Amino acid sequence: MTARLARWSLLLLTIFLLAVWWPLLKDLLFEYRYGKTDLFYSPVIERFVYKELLGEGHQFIYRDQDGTDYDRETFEALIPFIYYKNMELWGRLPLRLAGQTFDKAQIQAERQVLELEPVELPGHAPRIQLFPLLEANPGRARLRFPEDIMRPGDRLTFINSDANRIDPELTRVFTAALTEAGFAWPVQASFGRVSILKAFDAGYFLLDRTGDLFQLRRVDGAPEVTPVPLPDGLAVRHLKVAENKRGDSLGLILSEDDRLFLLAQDEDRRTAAELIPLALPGYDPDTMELKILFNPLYRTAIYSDQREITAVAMDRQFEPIARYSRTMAMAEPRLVDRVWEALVPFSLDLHDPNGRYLRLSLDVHGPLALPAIGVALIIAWLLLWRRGLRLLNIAPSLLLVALTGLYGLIAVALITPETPQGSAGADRRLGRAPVPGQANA
Amino acid sequence: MMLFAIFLKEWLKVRWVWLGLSVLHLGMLLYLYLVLRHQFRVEHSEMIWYWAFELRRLLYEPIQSLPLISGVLIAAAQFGPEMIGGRFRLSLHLPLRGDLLVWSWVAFGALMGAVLALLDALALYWIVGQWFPHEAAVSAVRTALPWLLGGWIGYFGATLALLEPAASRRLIYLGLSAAFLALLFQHRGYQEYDQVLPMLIAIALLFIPAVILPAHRYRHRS
Amino acid sequence: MNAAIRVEHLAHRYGRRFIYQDLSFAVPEGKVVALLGKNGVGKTTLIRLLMGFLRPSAGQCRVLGEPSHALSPATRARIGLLFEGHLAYDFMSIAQIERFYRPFYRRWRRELYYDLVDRLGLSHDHKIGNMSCGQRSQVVLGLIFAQDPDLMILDDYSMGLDAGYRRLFLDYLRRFLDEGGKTVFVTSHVVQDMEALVDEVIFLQRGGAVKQLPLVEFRRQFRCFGFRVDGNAPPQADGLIENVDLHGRAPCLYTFAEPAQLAAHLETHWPQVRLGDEQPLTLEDAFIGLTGKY
Repeated sequence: MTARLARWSLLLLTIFLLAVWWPLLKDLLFEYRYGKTDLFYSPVIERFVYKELLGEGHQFIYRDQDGTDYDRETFEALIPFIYYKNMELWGRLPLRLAGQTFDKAQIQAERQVLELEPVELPGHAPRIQLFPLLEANPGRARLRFPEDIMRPGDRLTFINSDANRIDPELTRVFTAALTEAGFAWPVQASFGRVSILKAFDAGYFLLDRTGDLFQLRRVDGAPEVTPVPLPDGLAVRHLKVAENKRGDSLGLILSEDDRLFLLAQDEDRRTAAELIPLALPGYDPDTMELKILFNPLYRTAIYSDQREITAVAMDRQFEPIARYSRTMAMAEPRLVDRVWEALVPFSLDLHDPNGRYLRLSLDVHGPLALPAIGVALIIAWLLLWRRGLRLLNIAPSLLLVALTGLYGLIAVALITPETPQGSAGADRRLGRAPVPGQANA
Repeated sequence: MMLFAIFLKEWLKVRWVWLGLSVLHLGMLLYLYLVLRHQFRVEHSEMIWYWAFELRRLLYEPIQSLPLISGVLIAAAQFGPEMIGGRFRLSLHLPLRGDLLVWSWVAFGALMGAVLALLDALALYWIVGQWFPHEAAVSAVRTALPWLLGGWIGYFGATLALLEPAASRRLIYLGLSAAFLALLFQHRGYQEYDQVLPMLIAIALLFIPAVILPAHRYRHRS
Repeated sequence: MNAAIRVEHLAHRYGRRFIYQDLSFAVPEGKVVALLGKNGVGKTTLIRLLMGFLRPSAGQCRVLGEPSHALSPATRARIGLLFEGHLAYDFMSIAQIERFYRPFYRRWRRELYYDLVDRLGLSHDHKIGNMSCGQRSQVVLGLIFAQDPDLMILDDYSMGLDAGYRRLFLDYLRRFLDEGGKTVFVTSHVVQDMEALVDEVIFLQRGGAVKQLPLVEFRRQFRCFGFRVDGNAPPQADGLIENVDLHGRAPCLYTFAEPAQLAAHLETHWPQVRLGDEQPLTLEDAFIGLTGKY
């Protein structure tokens, strides 16, 4: 009895491992080379243009939303703010567009990219909740990391990194400053950008117990707290801090109901000002990567999951002008994808494309896998029958193959049933009937 | 009493290997301690904290294969002598159910491994806690949990392969164990197994009933 | 008669090669029975089947009333096994191995173990791995005695033992058997040792033919005669003549028949043969005479 339990444990283990390795193996053997489509809004023709890799090698197409193809140079000239360095090389600067002239310095000053990826969202990746609060006014060109780290909690604890000990004075001062500003403890969430390679430091944004948001900076060693004016009913899910030279925004705020806002900045003080809503239809922050490209004329939000890519072109006030969506070439299933899926009824995905956590997500392949299950069943039956097992004995194994297809077949072939009558079970192979009078079946 | 006798025999077999492993573990942990101490002497502490928290560098990776090695060696010390000259037959003739006997063996082996795993976890917590805040020490232990599970897989994989009489089946068991092990070292940073680990542990428990099969096949070869 | 071991229509094969196809015999309770046979007739396989480490391809193998490959723990406790080469846990000491086995057996007789082992004059923490073959055989025998089994299956106890330790082994075994009620099934390469030990012998021959008879019967009935041949057509084994040996200096033939019966048989079937004198036989001679030299 326990031997049977043992065999079934091994069968399940084998099937589990096969189901996890099946997609990993495909990635290993048939790595996907085609990246995502590059989609832009052309200020020249005021239409969306894109660049896409169609197949192996360098089969790029450069096309606009109406299907007109361009050569590479023409394409790049359609998005001159992106390729402004090429434009300079080709002697096409300053640009003349919409009745305005743009030279290199102007373009550079107006360019900016804001990004938000699913993996950055809270819960999509583990993060030790300790953050360095940089000196916002370092009095020198470069920012530097402080010798203490901030632990948000029932109070704001500072831990000295040299001594690995709490700094009671800093803790008291910063906690008191937040309390004074009306912060309701404990800290629910903290948002900031841990880097010294940035234009300046906007500090941390701390969400309090009641859902209010506070910006905390360390200015000349002292706390500076700025409440962020949230619109009524807005529950903050995430805040992507992105300090930049342009100086009109501090980053992006994502609400619990997946609305996205640009967090404007008070230009003089580098503190948070109002929230500007962005109308991004169909945007799903949990599965889509988002980019907002700034140029002197437009802002373009481009967001995509593994299938669809959408771009919304906006004017300088973030009012939508045009929108375009298309299914990316990479979403077209390849033959190997189809075959791989059809061979097995399901697979388990270990890696989450939208997060750092490993998980086991079941991917059921549906009726496409039925023919392969049928073939697996026949082979399994032949295999077991040749070992001299009767239908009643092999029925559970066959049921397993019916449910798990090729996985089950491989498992049953590797971990064959123990023949209950000893080697007499192999008699069918020898064309001999087992000797009667078995006492031990 | 019987269980005590079984444990006595297993202890006699594994004691030197286990003591050797204990020394190896303590040595590796001491090495880790010294490496970290060295790091904090040559680098600024806030930079190391930045690597650890933001860049997700695992400063305690030197110990990641320690549990695996220990699992395999404990299994080899336990079941190697049983296989030499077919001594396993001596045990199978004892007036005791074979499955209970094998389970008591692996219970003992797992216990020996668990002691080392506990040592690793506690020492890792303590060592990391010397230079990092409490959160980081907890995170280090959670990050090391799949490595500890690797010790379990290594132990049972080696046990299956050693008890198994047929060479081809032995390869299958080793292949399965290797396929499982490879799933446990896919991290690119800390705590990435937090969500999937309970599931992996549940599946790894299948090894407990599974070890009966090679013993059964050894007993009932035809 | 109650049988401690009963083998019926046993067949076993490795791959396609059958070792035996229809083997039957029984070992009566309370008897000492030796299994004799030349190399390669399947003695080891038969012992493995009886010890329960092989499953028969067909037929039955019952030991103390249970199928040999599925013995209950209670029945296993009543069977003492001596494995080929006096297999024991090398990593244990004299005291440790006794301490290990003791809790498994209700009838454990510690004094029998130490009675035997103490004669070796070794300290109790002497490792078995550091012993000679002979010393180890004493330890293993002591363990089997202490177990106080009803049935002992002793596989090639003489392997690796010199004459002294072989004799010692037999002496202790016989003394233990004197207590009565024990069944022993034994194999050995040293046939003459069996003379003073066994009640019955089972000759296993190639292809699975089996001949079982009391040892005294075998010694009384099995005869060897010298002969001469007129011409060059020597007699051959034919049922009445069990075997003809032409390898020795003087040719001889073996039979279970009475001299008169043999003479009549030769007259009719092998008239060219001139029967000589009956030769004295040791048990080993007789064994070889029956099973042949090759």
